Amino acid sequence: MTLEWQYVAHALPFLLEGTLITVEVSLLAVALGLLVGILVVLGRQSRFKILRALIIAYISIVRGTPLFIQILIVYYALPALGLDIPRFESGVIALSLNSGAYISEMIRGGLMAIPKGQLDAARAFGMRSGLIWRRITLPQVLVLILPPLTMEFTGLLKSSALLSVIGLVELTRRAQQVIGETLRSPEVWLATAALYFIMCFALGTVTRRLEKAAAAYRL
Amino acid sequence: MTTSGSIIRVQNLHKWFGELHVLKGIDLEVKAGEKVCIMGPSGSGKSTLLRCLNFLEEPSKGIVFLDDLPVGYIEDADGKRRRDTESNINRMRARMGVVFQSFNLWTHMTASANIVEAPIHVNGLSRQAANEKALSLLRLVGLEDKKDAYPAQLSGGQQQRIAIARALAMDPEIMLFDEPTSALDPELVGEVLAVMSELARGGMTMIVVTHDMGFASAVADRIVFMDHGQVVEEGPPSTFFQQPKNERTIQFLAKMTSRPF
Repeated sequence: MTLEWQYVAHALPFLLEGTLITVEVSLLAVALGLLVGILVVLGRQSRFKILRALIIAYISIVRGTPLFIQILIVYYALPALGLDIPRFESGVIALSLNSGAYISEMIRGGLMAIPKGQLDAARAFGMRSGLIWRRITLPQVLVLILPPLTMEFTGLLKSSALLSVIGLVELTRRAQQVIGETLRSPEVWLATAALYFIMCFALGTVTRRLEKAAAAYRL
Repeated sequence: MTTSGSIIRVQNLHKWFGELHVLKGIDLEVKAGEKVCIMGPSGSGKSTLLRCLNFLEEPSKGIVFLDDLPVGYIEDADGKRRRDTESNINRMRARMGVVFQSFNLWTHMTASANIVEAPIHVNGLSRQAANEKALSLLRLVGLEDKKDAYPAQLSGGQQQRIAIARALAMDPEIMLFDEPTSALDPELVGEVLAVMSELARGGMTMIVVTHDMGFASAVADRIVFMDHGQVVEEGPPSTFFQQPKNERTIQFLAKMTSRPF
């Protein structure tokens, strides 16, 4: 069997539609994941024991179960509790809750690398703790965790293929549909892989630039 | 209500770190415009005392007054003492400038951004006014050309001068220095002491924890000598250095002057 690329040319517009959804879902998930990660770190410093316990339980559950199952739970189990969430939103929620747990661990590590004296100085000049967090701590932590965050984002982008299982028509699901119509599976899967690769490659390039720019102060 | 005439008054201050009794009843008064150098062997509690002055460390017992107002606490009508609100504590802190041994500049900000940060976000100064102020302070410490440099691009002496400018930008009523030259290479000490001497000549109230006997004798109105968490001797530099009375002061001074350089 020879590869016949005209099928790919024919399918490409459809695949690109799916690519767009993949990009959207991943961008949203990483942004929300970052927010979740920050909130989790703040929550772990809370005075309330119950909140701290819940957060630790959340992190253990996310780390101890497959993402695949987490996606299925968000989409199929939450409606049973009366929460009917559409596919796209379910996908974003599942992915961001998952990466939020990992990102919170990165932030915790980053926090330890900020010299305590810088926080002393901020306090000494009368800065409120919220202001210190926003102006001194967080900007430095974000730069510190940029490399692992990039890896997390790349992983998220690829894991978003799992969302095809709940019927979200992202790139992978789109590929399956195209195959259903054309019955040419090898070419389409190869093209799909190429599209994922291009996305990850572009992401790597962008973040490398970002790292360079942000780390101008670290000699 | 103000009667004492002192800007800082420390009353029977104690600090425990767990079992460790670091400050054992410190009493100290500093008048406006006065320059006080705190000396003493390491571990004597000098830095802890300084950190208690602006409530970076919470005293275990005793109290610090800034302009006759208790720092970190409010007193009820019946004299009961409660911890003050965070914003009130911050307001007190903003009136005291602090310079740390390890500079503690914010490494993700340029020199001028370090200087304008607190004036803008704590004092509510406009960005333009803050920038103008930063520029004149950079001129004062002789680092006008370094305004866009990040701390990592500066020498230790330059970083400490920026840190002094950063503290001055808050228009403090008093400046606290915690061993400002101890982390510096010997050849960089002079430039920092020069800025501090200039500041002293300008009439700033200063409390300086230091090992630098030259600076202390030239600038201080009074030297406070601490050992094992207590003030064991105090007096003007002439008396302190030439006729120390306390046995521990004599030993300390003998060690300091017999140093190889």
